Amino acid sequence: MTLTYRTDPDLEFLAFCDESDLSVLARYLTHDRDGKPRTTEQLTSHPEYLRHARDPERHRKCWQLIAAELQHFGGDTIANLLRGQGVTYNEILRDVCSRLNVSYKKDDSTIQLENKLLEKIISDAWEKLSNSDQRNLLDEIGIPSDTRPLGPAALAAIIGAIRSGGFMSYRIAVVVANSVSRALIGRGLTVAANQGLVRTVAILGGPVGWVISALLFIPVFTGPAYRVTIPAVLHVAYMRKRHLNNEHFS
Amino acid sequence: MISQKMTEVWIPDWTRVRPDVLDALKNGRAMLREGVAYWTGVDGQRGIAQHVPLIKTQLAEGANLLQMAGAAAVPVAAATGVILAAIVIQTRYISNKLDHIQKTIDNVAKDVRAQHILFYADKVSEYFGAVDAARTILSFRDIADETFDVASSLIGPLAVHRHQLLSFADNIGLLLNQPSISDEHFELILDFLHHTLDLVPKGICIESALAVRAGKFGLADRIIEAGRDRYSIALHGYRAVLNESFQEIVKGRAGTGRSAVIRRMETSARALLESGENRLLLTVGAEGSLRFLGESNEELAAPKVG
Repeated sequence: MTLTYRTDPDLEFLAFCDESDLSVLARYLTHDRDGKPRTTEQLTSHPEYLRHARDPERHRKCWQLIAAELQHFGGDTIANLLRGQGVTYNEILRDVCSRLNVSYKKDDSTIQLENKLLEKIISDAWEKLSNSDQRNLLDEIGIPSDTRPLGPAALAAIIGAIRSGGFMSYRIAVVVANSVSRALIGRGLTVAANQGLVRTVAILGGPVGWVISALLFIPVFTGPAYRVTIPAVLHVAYMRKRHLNNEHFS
Repeated sequence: MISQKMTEVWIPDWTRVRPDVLDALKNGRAMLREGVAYWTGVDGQRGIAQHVPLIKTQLAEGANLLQMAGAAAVPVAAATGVILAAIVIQTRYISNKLDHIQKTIDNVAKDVRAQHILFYADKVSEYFGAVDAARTILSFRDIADETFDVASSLIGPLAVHRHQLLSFADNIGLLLNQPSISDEHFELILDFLHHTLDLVPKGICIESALAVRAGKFGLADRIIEAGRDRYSIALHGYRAVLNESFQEIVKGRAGTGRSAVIRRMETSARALLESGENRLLLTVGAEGSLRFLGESNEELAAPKVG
């Protein structure tokens, strides 16, 4: 079966992503956590991908193949064969959300779905944070101590920060994607870290890492395809937020 | 073998400039206007310092001015800004680019039949047409004294047309991310903006040279300064339009057609936003201050546009 990219507005931005970010995404699609090649992947044997083997911009030049591989992992093998291509990213994202019991609406946009996925992970991690780390996280999103909400209202404030799509939202996406990368590849992402990001990673990194490990490795969540699509969509969500928070033409 | 098309420009022959004048030019105590070095009066000296001898040099016609200037067969160290201005004023570099802009604006006007677009499309043609005419007049160096009046009369209308053109550029960018704009039209508008904003600094350089020809040296400097400020605003708008279009792609709202357009023009758009040649042209003007003489690092440290 050939690897054919299905035109997908939600994945077009991959064409503008960093080589390092795309290589991590490609790694999730082509190798398992033990570093062994996935038996069903087609990317690494594709002639175009092989042709760019020595190219330092290999993944940037093959972004459509990477997107196509993700689309194929999201679709049923037989249906992919009949269609000649995989499914759209939005469909994959909805599937992942359903699998992880994330509630969403039919008309939610891709960004809204990605936010809800991050909210789910942060909600699960919130319960694992110490009281002082919960306070520190509220400090990070700029909620003054005298008006600081408690209990569920505090978590709602964090979720509000994710939905607003600002820099805090990006920081949380980095923490999540970084935890995924550590769990699956054994190293963190290459991200220009500022002090705010370092503090957020310090506060949230541990608890988010535990949640991510549970999502990726506990069989109740994961079938073979989900072991690929869950980390892939979390990484795509991070890449999207990275671009939403930076001026591309500076 | 591919033969490269050559063109000729006259530039100052620094080997024949007196050392004291050369030093004064480098330090801002003299300025070069129409091949004549004048004392600026900083150290008490006024009037003509020296009629600067010119030397003919051959250039291979290239895609951008800095490439052409870099390949110039210049026998002595020369200020890049002076060579750039010489190319803009003395060659058909601008005329060749104008043909492309005219075709683009014709296509934009054909597709968008809104009355204000058609009105401003004419203004674009008027400005660049006048710039090309001014360039021709400036090329008549042997009868320069006969062109004072005509040069003087062109300065005002050129400034008016340029303001109209840049207002148009500001406004047409706002159309880009509206749903009614087709992908083809999106590309046309971006292409138009790109080529227009690439040429405007050359136009300002010619406007300034025209003021020098008319003997209005102060006005020549003001045209560069005010032009640089207005150009910065337009370039900032162009950058904002590009970023807005890019954000639409990231949000998944733009569609594959627009994403492909941004991919195609990304490199050239970045080159325009960071253009060293435009920065230099809006610093030294046509033949203005030569404080950048032969010092390339200082040239590129010129005030950033945009």
